[in-house]
Amino acid sequence: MSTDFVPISFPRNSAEPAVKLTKAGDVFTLTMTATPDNRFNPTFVKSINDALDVVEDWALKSHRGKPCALITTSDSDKFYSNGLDIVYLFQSSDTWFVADQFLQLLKRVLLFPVITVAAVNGHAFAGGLLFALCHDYRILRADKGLLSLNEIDLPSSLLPGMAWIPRAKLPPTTVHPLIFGPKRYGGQAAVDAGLVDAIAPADQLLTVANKWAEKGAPKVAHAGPIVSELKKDMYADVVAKLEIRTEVDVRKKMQAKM
Amino acid sequence: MADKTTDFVPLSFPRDSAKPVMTLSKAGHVFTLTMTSPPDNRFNPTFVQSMNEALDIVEDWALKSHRGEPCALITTSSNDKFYSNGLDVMYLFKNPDTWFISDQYLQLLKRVLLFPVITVASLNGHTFAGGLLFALCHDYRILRADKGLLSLNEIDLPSSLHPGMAWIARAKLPPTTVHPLIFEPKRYGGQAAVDAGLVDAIAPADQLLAVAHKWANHGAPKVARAGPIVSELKLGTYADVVEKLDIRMEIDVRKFMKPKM
Repeated sequence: MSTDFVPISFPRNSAEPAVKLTKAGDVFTLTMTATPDNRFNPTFVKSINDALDVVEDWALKSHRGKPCALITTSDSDKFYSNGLDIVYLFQSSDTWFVADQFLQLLKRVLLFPVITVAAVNGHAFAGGLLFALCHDYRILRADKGLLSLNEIDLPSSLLPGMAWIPRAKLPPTTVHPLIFGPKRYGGQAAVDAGLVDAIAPADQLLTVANKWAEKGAPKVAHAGPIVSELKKDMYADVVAKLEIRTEVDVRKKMQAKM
Repeated sequence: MADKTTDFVPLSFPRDSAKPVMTLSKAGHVFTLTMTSPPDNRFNPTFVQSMNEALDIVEDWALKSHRGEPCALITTSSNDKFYSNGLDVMYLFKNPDTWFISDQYLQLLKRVLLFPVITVASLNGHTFAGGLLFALCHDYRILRADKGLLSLNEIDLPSSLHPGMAWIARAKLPPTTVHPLIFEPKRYGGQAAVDAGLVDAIAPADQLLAVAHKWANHGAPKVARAGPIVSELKLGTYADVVEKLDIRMEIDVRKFMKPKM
């Protein structure tokens, strides 16, 4: 099994890939490699989508009936993801990027046909935390790496779908301080707050993530497309809000942090 | 730098009343709204109107006259026994004011839920029914450690809950708290209230306002930096509660409640 998939990077044939996809056993690992901090812009979103296409095709078509799961992580020691690429949004007039690309990617991950595990090896802020929350499970590095939704300090409001992910996935007593503190969570506090499922030392993070992924891998083997259907049933309200199309001009709402 | 402690003269509401039901004061960046309506700060038209006038002042300060400066709001009671005992049922019995709940009380809850500055309820006494719903609409709640219970006792009145009232509890509390709170009805005090997610912290009586101030001061910079986005974030986060609070329903309490004399 360990040689049945050749690693690919995206964009294909790029000198500076944004995403790398590998496989070991039944588990794909999508490593974000968009320096410095894996921010969501069109190239990054497309690269993730291309990688997800490969996994989805494997699990539901070419290797249908076989166990399969997905880990996402980052090759940056400091960041899992720092959220939206604000500089890109400032410099382009891409006012539909958030609604049509970023939120649709969040929806895709939320409903993904295999069990997903975010191996959060560094800070996960704002849109990066929302991306992680759309996974089935989150494993956080024990010694380093904070989680925060710092929109109130940017300042920025949250689109309906973005606000609804924490509402659906987190205890109410975490939602409010997270958004309005904004409280930053790390280590055991992140587990206690329901933000992550477990913590692990840095050198064991991927091993622990693989354990969770292996445990979830048989689901799609047995249930096929029903995994996605169950996610859709459970998070119907989040999906409905993620589909609300809102034009976003960050230049009107924020001061760019350069 | 201007002396912040003298930049606001305390006001009481209704204005020019010999028996105000509310006072508004300010220290540093923090306004304190003290409910002073004997015996137990119940919500009736005068009380709601007074509170809205006080909130108008805070809102105007934070978003207009002192826009860009830190600002936060504490609410508390001058009454040692009660923060608030909920709706003024006697008033509702004596008057056919069947739109009071929908149009005044629930709209006040919505206003507090979406308030443009960070709000801290300093719960210095019992907080029951409509009083607890009011407190739950704040950003944070600090409870007196030794005294003061929280309860949603509608099931014992008996009374149902308007959709918006039920949804505040659903949105703000862990599910494992919501059910006992409404259906036993369970009363929570002290550390149990913290553990159940009903309040953020407890403090001894003589430190309650100081602790409330700490939380308020921590939140005060939010509106300075984010301005109207604080309210927008609250609307985004609690859109479902707002939708339900906006449901207009005629309610005649005489049909289902017995007044407690």
